[in-house]
Amino acid sequence: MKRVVPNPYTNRAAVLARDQFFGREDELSDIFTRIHGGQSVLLMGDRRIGKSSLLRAVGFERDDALEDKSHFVLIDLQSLAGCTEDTCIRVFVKEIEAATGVRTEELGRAALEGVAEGVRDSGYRMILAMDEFDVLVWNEQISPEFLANLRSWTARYRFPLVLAFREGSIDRIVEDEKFGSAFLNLFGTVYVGPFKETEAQELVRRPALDQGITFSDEEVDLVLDLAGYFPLFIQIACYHLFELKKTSSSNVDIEGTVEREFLFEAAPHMEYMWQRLTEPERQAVLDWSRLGGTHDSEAQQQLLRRGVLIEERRALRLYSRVVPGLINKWQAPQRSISQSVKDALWK
Amino acid sequence: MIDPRIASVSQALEAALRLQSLRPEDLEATASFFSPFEREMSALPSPPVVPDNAAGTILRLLWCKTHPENADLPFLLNVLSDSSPMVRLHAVDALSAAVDTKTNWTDSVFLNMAREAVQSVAHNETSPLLAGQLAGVSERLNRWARPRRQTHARVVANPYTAGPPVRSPKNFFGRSDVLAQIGTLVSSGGTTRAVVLHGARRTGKSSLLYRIVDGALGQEVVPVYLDMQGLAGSPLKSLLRVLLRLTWQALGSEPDYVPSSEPDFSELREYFDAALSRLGNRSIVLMFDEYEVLETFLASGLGGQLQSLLESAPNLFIIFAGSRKLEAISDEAFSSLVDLARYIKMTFLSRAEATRLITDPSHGMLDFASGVPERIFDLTNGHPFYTQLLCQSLFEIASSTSRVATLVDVNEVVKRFLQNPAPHLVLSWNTLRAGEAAVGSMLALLQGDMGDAVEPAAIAARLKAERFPLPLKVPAVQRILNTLSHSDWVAKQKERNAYRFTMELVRRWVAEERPIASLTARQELELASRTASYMRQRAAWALDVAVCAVLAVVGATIAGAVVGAAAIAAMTDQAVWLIWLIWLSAVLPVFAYLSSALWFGEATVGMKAFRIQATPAPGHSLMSIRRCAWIAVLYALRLVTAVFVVLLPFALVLEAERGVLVFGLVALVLEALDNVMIWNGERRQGLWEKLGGILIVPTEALRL
Repeated sequence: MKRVVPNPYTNRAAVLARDQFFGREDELSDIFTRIHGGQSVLLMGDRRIGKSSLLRAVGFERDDALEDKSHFVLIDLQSLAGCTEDTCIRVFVKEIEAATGVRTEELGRAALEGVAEGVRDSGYRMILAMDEFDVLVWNEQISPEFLANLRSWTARYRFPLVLAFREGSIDRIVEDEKFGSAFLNLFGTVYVGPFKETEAQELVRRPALDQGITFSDEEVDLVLDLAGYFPLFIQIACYHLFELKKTSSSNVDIEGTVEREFLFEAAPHMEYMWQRLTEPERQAVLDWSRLGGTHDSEAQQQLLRRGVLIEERRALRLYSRVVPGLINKWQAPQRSISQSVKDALWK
Repeated sequence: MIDPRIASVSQALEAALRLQSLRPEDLEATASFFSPFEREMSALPSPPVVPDNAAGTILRLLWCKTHPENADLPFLLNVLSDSSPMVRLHAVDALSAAVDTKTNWTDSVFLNMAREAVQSVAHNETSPLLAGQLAGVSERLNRWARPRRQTHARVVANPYTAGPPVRSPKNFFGRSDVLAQIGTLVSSGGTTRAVVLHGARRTGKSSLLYRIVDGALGQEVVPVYLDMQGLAGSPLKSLLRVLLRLTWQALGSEPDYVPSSEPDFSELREYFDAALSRLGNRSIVLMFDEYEVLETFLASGLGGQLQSLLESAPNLFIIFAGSRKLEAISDEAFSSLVDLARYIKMTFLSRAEATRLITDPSHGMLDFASGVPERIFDLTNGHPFYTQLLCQSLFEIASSTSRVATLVDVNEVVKRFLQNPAPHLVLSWNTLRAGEAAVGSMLALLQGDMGDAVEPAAIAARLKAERFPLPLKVPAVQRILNTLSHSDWVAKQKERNAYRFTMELVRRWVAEERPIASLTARQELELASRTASYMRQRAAWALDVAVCAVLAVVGATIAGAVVGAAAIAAMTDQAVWLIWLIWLSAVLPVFAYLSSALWFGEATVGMKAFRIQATPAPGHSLMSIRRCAWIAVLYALRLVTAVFVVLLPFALVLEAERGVLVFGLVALVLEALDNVMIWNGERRQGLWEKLGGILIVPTEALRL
């Protein structure tokens, strides 16, 4: 086989291996502290920010962080869309059996009790992680009573739950009537935002270094200028930079090529992020792109928290230098003639 | 040089492969087919030199499979994408055997290359079986990945519990008064045989019940705890089975009785009668946590059974704990059961209890700088959940930097809370009605950081100034404040009719995250999306036309009768003025009716009849006298256009004057436009509502 150097920046979905996971020291510490205290945890944060990866990292790191021996059971609920409660229980039990080695002959809800008792008797704790929990909540076949049972079950056996939602805002999550139950009251929330600067730098440099390729300081700056501190965007920018570095000669315009390739792949994600901003936040981004600042301090704070604005060398900037150029396109969505006429008539 | 023996085996294999049509999915067939060749290869001490064809490759792969520690991994990875399914099958088998050996995988560059290659091949593999096996290999390869980070420092146990009920007695503080009250009631054997422990969520009801389970009421009490959430959606027999099993276990699992799998009320009755009589002076305390779930079982007579048990056994006591109002439960037997119960409300801890909750759990691990416990109490007012939450966060921040928690740390904790509030808070806030949220938000704003209590009139006035689109006058605000104080959001001052938030922490979150401007905008949009249907609006208007017609006729008749006859007799040449006078006498009552109806009730008779109401459209001010008069003028015009539209056919038939025809045609256009706008407009806003800046919404949309 031709010995090609693999590109280590191919992660676009959740990270599955321990050595591919970077950063999030504070978040992991917060999660483990809560789990240690028996509390369940809700991972909050915008889409594609790395909640699913963090969820899996709880599994990688638990033995180092927690004194007690624990089983980690991860259930991706995406596959349970539209399933009945019985199917959900079967899947839960099957996953727990696979991860813990405990077996039960019971069926239905009794099976959940059976595996829980088995795990408890084995002297292990069980950390039950569920990804894309929205799927369960929005499944019409799942009754609020099922969530109530789940709450009672985890409370009785003291299994901390760690949940990640697709939805980034707690307001939108709790709008669902099923959460009118006491279910969410169990949880503490851990906010998953963009990386810190040091974490972002590590994600840029380390994987390449492991493959024997070193990014120069200018190249690291280029990546962070394009991607900000968002792990997904860093992966995209680094992927293209790495490809160029491993194959090209020195006369290639690295900066121009990386920016072009980055734009092509990242623009849809960036537009989605723009659409998810509130109106004041969008206005503040516009102010920043046109005037270099905004008077709306509240919106600015929110943008900082979401990583759309980042603080670097004691100054603020938009997360990516390509954003101002893209905003005009995002701002003027094409409208049909009938829509325009209707708007003119009624608005 | 190829060994002749290998060459002959290779030829035999090649010939056999040509004769057999094997697929990777034919597990048994392939196993028996390749078994002799595998045995042959396993006997070789070193990798064979093989012919350059599929059979030769398979032989080499079989050798690798049987000698995994010496397998040529680059070769295996290379042939994973071979065109022959049999070669791929054996490559996967060989790689699967080699993946757990320690050779080669310690080279991280090679490992990463292998992981990428396996993932890529798995993605393109056409055989589902091989794709599944490759996914397994990929997963096992990931285990060779080195931990990227240094070993984590072990998590220091945080002694505060914010979320699940407190199980450990040493972390439970306060509530001694509640426990004493319950203890007295249980031991007295009086007529009060039940307690309803109520209060908002997270006030520590379940934690208190766990204390009772741990024996806080003494050795004479046998506690039986039922978490009703775990029985939600279950049939009655499940509840009875669990109730009997838990009681049986709590009493020491007497061997002469084992609860049946499908118990009924008679078994429950018999068991409890026997058990209670055996207990003598001791009592059973049944605790139903989350009593709201009980409601689903009441239809089958559970309330009556519990009441009957209580009446017949002086040593049975029941505690119901929950957060919903029990008045909402309509079962008669259950109502009479809880009517006789003592209600105990769980609210805030006293300052002394809260201070112990703040300082004792972290004793020896964390010190508190002067003023820190007081500041936490000021923020939470001793609410157990919020106190634990702040302390939990404070412990995390302070213990990572020093052993002393300072006021700066408290500020950081509050900042984090405001950015990332507990779901419980958001959830509780979202259960408030629109009017309650508006009043709460305005109170949070007016109270300010100084904590001044605010009077209902001030809140109502400011809500009006902010154009909140619901009718929140002083009595309504007063009523809402009372409701909010029942659920401990706000508290009334003793000396005057003024209110303030019970918890500064919550007030700050409301003021910052739920400002009145955003509530107003949201409510406006909510109303705009709930406008009344075309038929409802038109039906109401038809009724109003009838009312207006009656008023106009009555007004004109009276004017004509009183003034007209005399005037006509005296000044026949001034008849035209008299016609105008009568006309005015007809219009004025209509105008007076419309404007006063809108001003006093924000609805006309027709609107009242069809349960719809006028409300300001987004961006418009509330209904003042001037606006009501303007809307009345517009509605009078709508009435006039309707009259002209009705008269138009007659005018055409009678060939009336051109001016009348023009009026009629203009009225027809306006009427048509009005109808189209109501029928198809975004907010079902007719022409006259649009000009008046109002929306017509169902009355229920304006419920406070």
